[in-house]
Amino acid sequence: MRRTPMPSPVRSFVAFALALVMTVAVAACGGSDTSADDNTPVNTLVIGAEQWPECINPITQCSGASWLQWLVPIHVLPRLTELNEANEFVASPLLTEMPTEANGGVSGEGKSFTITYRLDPKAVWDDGTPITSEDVRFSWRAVLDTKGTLSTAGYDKIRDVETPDPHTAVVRFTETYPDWPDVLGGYAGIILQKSKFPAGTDVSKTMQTSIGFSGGPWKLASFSADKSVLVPNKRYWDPARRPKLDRVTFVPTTESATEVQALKTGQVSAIYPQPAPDLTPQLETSGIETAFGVTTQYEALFMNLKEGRPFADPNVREAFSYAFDRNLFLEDIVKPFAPETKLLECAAWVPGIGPWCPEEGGPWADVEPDPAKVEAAMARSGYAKDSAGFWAKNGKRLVIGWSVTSGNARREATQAEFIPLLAKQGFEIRTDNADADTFFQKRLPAGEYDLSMYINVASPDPAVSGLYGCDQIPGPANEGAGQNVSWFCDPEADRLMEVIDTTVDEGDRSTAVRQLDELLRKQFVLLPLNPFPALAAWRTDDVKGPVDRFINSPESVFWNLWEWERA
Amino acid sequence: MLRFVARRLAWGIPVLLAGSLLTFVALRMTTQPVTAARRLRIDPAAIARYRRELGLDRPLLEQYAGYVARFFRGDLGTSFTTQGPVWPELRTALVNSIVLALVAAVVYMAIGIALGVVSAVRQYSWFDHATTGLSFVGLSLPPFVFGLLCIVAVGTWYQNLTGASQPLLPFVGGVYSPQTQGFDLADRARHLALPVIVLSVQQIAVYSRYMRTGMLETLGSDYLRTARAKGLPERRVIFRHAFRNALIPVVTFAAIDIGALAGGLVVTEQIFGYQGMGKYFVDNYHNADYPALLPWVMIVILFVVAFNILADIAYAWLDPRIRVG
Repeated sequence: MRRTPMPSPVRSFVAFALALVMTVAVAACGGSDTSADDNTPVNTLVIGAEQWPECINPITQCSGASWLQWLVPIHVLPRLTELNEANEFVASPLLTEMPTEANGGVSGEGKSFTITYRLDPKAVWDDGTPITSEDVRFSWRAVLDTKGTLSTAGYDKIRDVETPDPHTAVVRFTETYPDWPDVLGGYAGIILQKSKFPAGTDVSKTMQTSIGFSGGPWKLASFSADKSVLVPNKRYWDPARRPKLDRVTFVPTTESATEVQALKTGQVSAIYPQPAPDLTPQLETSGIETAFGVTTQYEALFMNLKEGRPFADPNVREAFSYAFDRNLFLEDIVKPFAPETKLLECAAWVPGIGPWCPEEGGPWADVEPDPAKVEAAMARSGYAKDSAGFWAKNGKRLVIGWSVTSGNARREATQAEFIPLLAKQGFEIRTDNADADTFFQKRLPAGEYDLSMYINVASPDPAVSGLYGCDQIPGPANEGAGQNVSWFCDPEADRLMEVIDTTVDEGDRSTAVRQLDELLRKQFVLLPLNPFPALAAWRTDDVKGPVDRFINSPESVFWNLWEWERA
Repeated sequence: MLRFVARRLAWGIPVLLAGSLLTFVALRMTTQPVTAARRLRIDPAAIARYRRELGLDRPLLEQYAGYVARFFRGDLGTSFTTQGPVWPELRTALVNSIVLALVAAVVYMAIGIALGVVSAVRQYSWFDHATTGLSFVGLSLPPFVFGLLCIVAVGTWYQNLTGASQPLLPFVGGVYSPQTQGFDLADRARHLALPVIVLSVQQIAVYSRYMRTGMLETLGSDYLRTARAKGLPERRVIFRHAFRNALIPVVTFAAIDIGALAGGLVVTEQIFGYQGMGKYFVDNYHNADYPALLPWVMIVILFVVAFNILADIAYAWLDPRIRVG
């Protein structure tokens, strides 16, 4: 074979190409360790964020993202009430005390229902001006008047916010509103600085990438698609909440594999990922500590009660509930990555999030695998097993589609384990998975599923009429926007939900919640699985302080960021 | 030539309109902003108001016509999700993608073409065999897998080997390190390195194969034999005659390829959290935010049309036999 010598122009070309690549490589690698370290102030932290909000407006649709709340509003914006570690509404540092009937803060009923807030005179914005009742009034109007408001629930029940003096805000409701602490307070309620919005109460065009004021322990120094930077608010009036760090930078780590590597390699100091079986082993390494905590989320098997679907038949729902081994699910699927997790025994509430669901002894406590009950329930509806051992009626086999979001390894593993087990009890179950957008945007609202498995969020307030009210079944009346995607409708349940929605007395509400829970259990509307655990992981050489103090509220581990320190 | 360019540009307008209409229809059929809002647990009353305020209750054609009219007036629209103007975010994504695409293109074309030329000139040598083998490896490696491998290599493996406290190359923070304030060329280059490497590996393989085939065809042609017989030096034969002609199909491919890169590199950008056009599309698609997506489509089509015209011009320049008119 004749070898052609490489001609000199080709050598020149190769040399040029190599030189170019070398130049890029040198520029890329130049000062790899030092440049990062030189720029790094000593007392700062970088935290990885699993999701990243499109914008930071705390009123518009942007605020629907949990990570937005964790990145900005809970640190920067003041609110009237807040949730403590026991998940109770308490006065935030903005108030001198929590309004109660005893101190005259809560008064009247029906059309005269009124909450009077006393603002702490020491409370100031970061520019030194006081936070006043005019700011409270403006914030109420902003929620109502802003185009694309996320939710006006509760705000639309306010008749007026009176401002008799700068430190007193009197909120007058149109009717008794038990969830009043969630309005302008709680998890997502915020107070805006009126003077920063000269254009008026429609704030939709503002706060896209910056919030130019602060009434919280932190100030937002910058926000972009790449990072969100918090620095201490030097004028924060509560000495107990003055940040111990000079700067906290959140960066998006939206790919889970990248997120873990970012923590392991020290590019971020802490992460708050969704727990998963394959994630925990990756974090079991020296220098990284993990902690599990409870959240307001719960996972369940949701059945579609829509006419014509298999689970429209209550006997089939009952039989399925007694066929599915929840304890086995807990042992095989959940405990390998979250050993402390217990079964959930309530429909839409979780233990620790309000007094609505007990740790043990909830309505689903007695729902355990029982072949005899399966047989009896199916027989009541005229089902008998066919030659292959599957339930059938009038010569037609019962086939149930089980939908999860495709790509979710934990849920797909659940299907793989439990479909054969359910087949032994006569249920022919077929996977019917879809990507998250198709599943949540199209199929759930259209009722195009039989059985689904996903996570829902329990609110500290026990109202669930949005989830189970007859008028919330998607349809023309609610422009297809109703959230009752189980198609459950029961007049007695509606009556109980009305009581829950409009009663202030916690005892009466608890009674109604228990009755509703029993009713949902009696009709086997869903099969609750477990409160979904939260996971925090951090580098012990970077972070110290009470970073593992989970709060039983949607605020996650970041609620006490002011206490975090650099190791 | 000018008439040719003008005609091609004029053709770009219907292409732009057709592309935007198709995208509009496709997006409205596959996404529903209202149900996307429901996923965020927005209460039904707010959703109903939201529909009216955003004009989603108007006829589809009216919505589309209104959008196109505003676009040609220079108003790229307002995002459903952010309620802010679309352009600033889109501009950032576009600039980031162009930077990534151009740097990567220079790297992978320089290496790919060089490898292809050398492989062809030294056909069946060990270098040619090695290049061919590595090309197939490169072509077979999905960017997602290779990206993760790179992350582990420059991160955990590098730190274990050297005891360094930081990875060799950063892969968090998008285009800059979290602590960087303002413009920093070195930091920008370091953050660009991994996406460029991931993007280049497959493309180097593609270009080297293209170039090798093109060179082999030209090297075996009659006119090259004639050129050699005339006594032209080998360097002139290869560069002036063979290389230039072999480059013609590669240039056409490169122009279309670079034009399409403006649409972003979804996988690469997702892995590295790089805020480019691909990530922009994915994020806004999840929110069914079609006012944010339509300008994206317009810009991508503009780039494809423009680079196709460039390909035609380059084609004519490289091959005098081709005349445009």
